Amino acid sequence: MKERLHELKWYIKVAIHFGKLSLQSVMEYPLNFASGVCVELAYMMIKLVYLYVVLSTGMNVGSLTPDMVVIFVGTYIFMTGIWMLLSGVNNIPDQVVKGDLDLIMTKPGSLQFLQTFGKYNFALAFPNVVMGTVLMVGGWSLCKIPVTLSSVGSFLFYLITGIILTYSFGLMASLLVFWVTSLNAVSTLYAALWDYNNMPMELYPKVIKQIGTFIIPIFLVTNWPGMAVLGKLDMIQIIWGIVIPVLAFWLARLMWKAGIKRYTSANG
Amino acid sequence: MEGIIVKNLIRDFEYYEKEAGMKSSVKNLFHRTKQVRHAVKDISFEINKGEIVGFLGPNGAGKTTTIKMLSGILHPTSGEVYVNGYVPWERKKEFKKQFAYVAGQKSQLWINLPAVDSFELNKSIYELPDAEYRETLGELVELFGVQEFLKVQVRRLSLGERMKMEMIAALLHRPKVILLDEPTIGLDFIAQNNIREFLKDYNRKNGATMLLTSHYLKDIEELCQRTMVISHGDLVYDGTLEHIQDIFSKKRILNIRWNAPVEKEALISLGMVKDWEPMKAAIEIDDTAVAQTIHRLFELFSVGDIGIDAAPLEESIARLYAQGV
Amino acid sequence: MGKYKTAFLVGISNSMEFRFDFFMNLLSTVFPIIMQVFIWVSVYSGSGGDAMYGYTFPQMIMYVVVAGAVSKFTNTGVEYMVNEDIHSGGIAKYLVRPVNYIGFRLCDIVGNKFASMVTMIFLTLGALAVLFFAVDFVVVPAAVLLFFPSLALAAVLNFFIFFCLSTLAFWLTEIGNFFHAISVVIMVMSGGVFPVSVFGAGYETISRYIPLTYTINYPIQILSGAVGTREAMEVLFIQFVWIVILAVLAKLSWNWGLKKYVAVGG
Repeated sequence: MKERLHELKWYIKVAIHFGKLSLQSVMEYPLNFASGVCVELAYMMIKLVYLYVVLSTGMNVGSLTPDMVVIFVGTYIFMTGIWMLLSGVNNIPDQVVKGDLDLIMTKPGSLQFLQTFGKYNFALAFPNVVMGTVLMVGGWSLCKIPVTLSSVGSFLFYLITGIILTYSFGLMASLLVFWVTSLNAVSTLYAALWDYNNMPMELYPKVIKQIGTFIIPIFLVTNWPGMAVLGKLDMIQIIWGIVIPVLAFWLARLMWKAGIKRYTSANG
Repeated sequence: MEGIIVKNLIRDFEYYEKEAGMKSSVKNLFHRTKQVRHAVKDISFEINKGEIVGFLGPNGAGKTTTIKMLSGILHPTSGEVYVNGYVPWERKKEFKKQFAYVAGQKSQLWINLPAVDSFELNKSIYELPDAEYRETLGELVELFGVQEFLKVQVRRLSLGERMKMEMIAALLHRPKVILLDEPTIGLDFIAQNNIREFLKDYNRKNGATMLLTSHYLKDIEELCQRTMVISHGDLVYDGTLEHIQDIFSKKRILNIRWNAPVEKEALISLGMVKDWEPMKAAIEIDDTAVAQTIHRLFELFSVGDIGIDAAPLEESIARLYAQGV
Repeated sequence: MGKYKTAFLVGISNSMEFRFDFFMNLLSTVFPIIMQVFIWVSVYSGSGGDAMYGYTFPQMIMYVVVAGAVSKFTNTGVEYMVNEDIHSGGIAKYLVRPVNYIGFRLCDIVGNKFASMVTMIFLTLGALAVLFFAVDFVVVPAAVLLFFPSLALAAVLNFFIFFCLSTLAFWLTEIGNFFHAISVVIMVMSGGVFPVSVFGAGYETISRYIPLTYTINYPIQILSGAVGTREAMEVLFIQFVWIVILAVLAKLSWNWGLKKYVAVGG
């Protein structure tokens, strides 16, 4: 027990240290930060255009009013920020190809932890997290949802499971580099799947909803917080939304172990 | 059990081959032929605690692959390795806390930040107590004389200074085993010398076991009591350098440019003619005969330019192999 | 022509080399289109079948299906090449030779686009056939005939727009990310995601007087039949005029930047 506690303290301390160094690197080069923000703002514009179409036509997406859609688009933009933040996950393919995992493999502690929480990209995360939060809060008040412990609690709970899924799915997509020759196509495909969350899943016909929930559970990443707070989750979905993040995290862990065994440490 | 034990270590790499052209592309779409390259073929050796051992061999001989297996970076195809009693590729925390891996071409430093920030990070990761960290850092910085560069962004440092910082980062936790892969590659003469001196000092003070690969003979000569020569994945020699020094240092190559054409036949009596064109030649001779041969050359011919080189490592190893030392 | 044939074959062969990628790329081109189609299905079902933003439902579906391909085709990526040439000192070799740099780059890109034009023709005809069966989209033959010249002009126009932008590299060093951001914004403003009429009447009016929309929005409008033959001819003419204006601008800013480049000595 005491040892576990000691280990946990180590993880937290090192993670904070990593975050600090990433932040310091940003401050050394504010121009890089600004240009990263600009790129993300440009991409965010596309995401917002979809929301604009919904708001300007006043269309309902399935049973969702335009005000409710704001919450979903906000969650999606926020989660995109989390995805972009985890550059330790997103850089894996590049590092594997160049053989740049060598030194980190010789460090004590979990390799998965040291690699995936070792670097953060604040420039790409910043605009998305800010805009996402603004939209989530704004949509919440437009819908006049009462702020109670249970509404905020259920929203935050599924927001956290969404973050776990973002991490796990991103990691699995990156780890494919160990089995696939060039990863460009995989990342493009993953990004295309990810973008399906730009609109609430109610937009899609039943078949796609089922596929995105049960086969490739990408909809769980950004739909569950909004659906939970609007009371649109049925019992199966509530449970599924708890099972899948655990399962995905575990699968990513297995894939990580299998992948690292295949690491060939190219000399770059 | 301290030291390194390697038994029947083998590592193969698989890759796919593709012939040029459209037809084979279509064929590859359905079926690809797997090829196997044997990088390390059945190597065994032991290294005692506190020994400095040199791993010598040309590029692609399997040095780096072996040292990466010893560091736990690569899994072997088969075979056993124990470093201080641990199997490296299990990557146990206790193991990683007592060894260090340094590679000339890989960096663990945060390039946009001063090196001292990366050192602090390693302090967190290795859980070094404040006092111990400060003492070790002070000592290492002093040995290298890099005090003034500690607060400079790593990207602004010269290659030599950067390598010294890499060394410091790797040694902050006072490892008992140090595996070095081409630590002096690409550095200028003075920096190479600094690093050699440093490693010697560190070994003397801490009694650390060291295995180092290099294709500079000089590194091995100055540092290692014992040398292992590896060629095409095979261990072809394991012993003192003196024993094989003759083979490595004895032969010299004279590269000569003439002012007037010289026949090949006229040179044969002087040494082995490795290369010949009417206006230039390369002759291999013993190191003892250098002065005499040059003298003779000037007597006999009109010499424009002359250069003396050591015989290439690959050739020396081939000779070593042939002699079956 | 043999050169292009070889380039074409090598291109296919390379993309098959990574067999997995080949299928993945195919999927990732189709996925976003499917999503956009659902959005419009939803929007139009709410509107009760009327035309919206000046497009009937089949026309809108056609727009989103073709837009991705058109924006990929007209995008030349010249800004990265020019940036590279300026910052690596590669333009020096063009300065000493009697070669017009802009002309050289244009020819280079036209050559590249020639091969993809063939793909583009098949792709468009395929999409039109699918749309005919899926949403009863009927195409006007004259529209198809006018679409391809306007597509070619759109690529040249895009080239000059981005060439003008790329001369900024003479003054700014770290500009790679900026190009990335600006090209996304330009893509959206040109109608690469949605028709520009979606952004409101105000922007639609403005868009008539800026070159951007003539690279994506108007060529697709021609194909969809949203504009008549006479207007389509007008679009072609306006494209041509913009090309001339921007070519002059490109030349001027290039010469200006070059003067600075030579004065500083690279």
